[in-house]
Amino acid sequence: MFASREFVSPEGLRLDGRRVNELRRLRVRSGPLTDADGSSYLELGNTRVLVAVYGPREVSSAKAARQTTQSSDRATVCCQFSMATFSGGERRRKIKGDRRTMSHASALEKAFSSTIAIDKIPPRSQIDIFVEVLQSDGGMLVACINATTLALIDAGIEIRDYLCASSSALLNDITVIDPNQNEEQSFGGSPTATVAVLPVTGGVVYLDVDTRLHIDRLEELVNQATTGALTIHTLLEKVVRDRTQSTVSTTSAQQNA
Amino acid sequence: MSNTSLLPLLSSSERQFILQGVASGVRSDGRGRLDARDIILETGLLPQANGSARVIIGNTDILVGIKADLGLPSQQNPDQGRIHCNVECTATVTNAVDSRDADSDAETLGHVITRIFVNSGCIDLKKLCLIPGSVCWNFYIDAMILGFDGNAADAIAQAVRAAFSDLRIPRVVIDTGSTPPTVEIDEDLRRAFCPVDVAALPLSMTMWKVGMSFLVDPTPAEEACASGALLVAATATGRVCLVQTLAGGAAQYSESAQATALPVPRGESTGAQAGAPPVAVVSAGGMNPHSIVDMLSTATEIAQSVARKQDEALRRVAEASTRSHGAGKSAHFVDQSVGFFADSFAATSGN
Repeated sequence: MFASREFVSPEGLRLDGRRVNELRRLRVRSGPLTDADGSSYLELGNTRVLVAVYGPREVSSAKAARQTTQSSDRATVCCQFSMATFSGGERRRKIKGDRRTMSHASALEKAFSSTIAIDKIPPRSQIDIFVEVLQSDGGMLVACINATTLALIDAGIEIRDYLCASSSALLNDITVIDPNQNEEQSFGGSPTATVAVLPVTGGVVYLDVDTRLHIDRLEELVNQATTGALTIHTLLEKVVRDRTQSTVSTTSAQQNA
Repeated sequence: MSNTSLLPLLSSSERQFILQGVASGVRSDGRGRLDARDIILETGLLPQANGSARVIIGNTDILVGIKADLGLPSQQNPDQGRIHCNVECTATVTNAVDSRDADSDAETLGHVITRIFVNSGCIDLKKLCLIPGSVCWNFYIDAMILGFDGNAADAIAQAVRAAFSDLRIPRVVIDTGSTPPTVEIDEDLRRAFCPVDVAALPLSMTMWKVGMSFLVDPTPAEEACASGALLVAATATGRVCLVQTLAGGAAQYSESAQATALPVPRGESTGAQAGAPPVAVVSAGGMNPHSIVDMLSTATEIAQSVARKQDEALRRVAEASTRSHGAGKSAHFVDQSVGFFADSFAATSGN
């Protein structure tokens, strides 16, 4: 097995040159797809995802119809998650509805059901979130959550707050933030915490720690991931502000002309 | 008919409007019958794939990734490498339709791409074989339809050709001294190379018969009005590699009889290479044989010019990437800047 110093050098640098508390480069674009009501494209290092949002619209899927009959006073959030065949290191055949895909989809559904201001959305309607992972290099769910938040804002669907996610991993004794695939899978799967928070209103919407971990280490791990999520919030907010500002200035320029 | 599941439903007056417009030579977006839309091309988007490209025509948005790995040659052709083509629709495209219909349409397109690039013999599969009967290169070409706005087949062919130009596979060292012979991969990516002659690859151009005339690069509404379509794949030098109908009218028009009598435009040889299988007209649903000959020659000419244009664009991409060390490779056929990164925002955070 590797020693921890192979992942973090004595100088405190990781294999990809980052410090332990440094996120990977985040690049985003909102509205890359013209057909969708809202869409976004996000790169977190080498992890790349594309999200399209439709709705609120009439209930069309069987699953949403079932939920609508159960609770007719609210809207339903439906998520479809899929990974491109070329997304991983090895090419993998696309299997519809495999366990990992389903669990990611339901995690996103639950997280965004409590983020979207569901009481302001017309009841008995459906919001569809389509997530396509173009490339995965660790932090897949993190990238998906952040991208979906942007796509929802692009679609103009009212949300209670930004939902921002980040992750952290424990490599032997050192907590690193935003691990890549290599770090996530070190030591046969190092303890990784994925946290999604509502930064302004406060509150953790999604928390996921896999692999056995001593309880004393949990707090630090979750705190680090939360710090990462808050950083991502400032970055996303800047993107949204800039985009809104440019939209407003072009609209007012058109009106003046 | 390809893409049936993605096409809009038209009212009879809408149909009439489009048909009359095409008959008088003006399409609803102002183009002439043989005017194609601008094509936007990006390559090298996916670092984890061996080659990748994205093509945007209107709102049609195609992303292609090529992955390569070492595998076993097929038993029929033990001295050849293997290429697998696969097309799929993303949920963003199929969200309004039955996904099973979309899957079968995507599968049809996958077959078309296989025929254009693999069965046409334009890629020398023997060069992809390392040790006959035991080790060869496997290429997986995966095309994703991210957006559909008509003309998917031609757009996918464009993207696949561009992805091949971006394709890099590592060099391998074959040790024939040992038994059995072993293959060692050279991990140094600076020595990686492109095993395919991209200039010799074909591009497709589909002629859609709308009313009594034919047009190229249709919008979904025009595709819905088409009574037939003929896909022609040709190389930049004008060699015809594949002729196939995509959309069929009601009747399957005499297949093989027409195929043998079909003149090839301007006396050029069929098939990409000597010894390649001859051109086959698969079926000619509901189209007059004379119009097929017309379509064939026009389509070949356009495919040829588009292939030349793409070669030029790819050359520009290569030049730009050597200057900027591969950061943000993209080139456009037109002076228009759209891309995933067009107004992207970059930030790193360290606290």
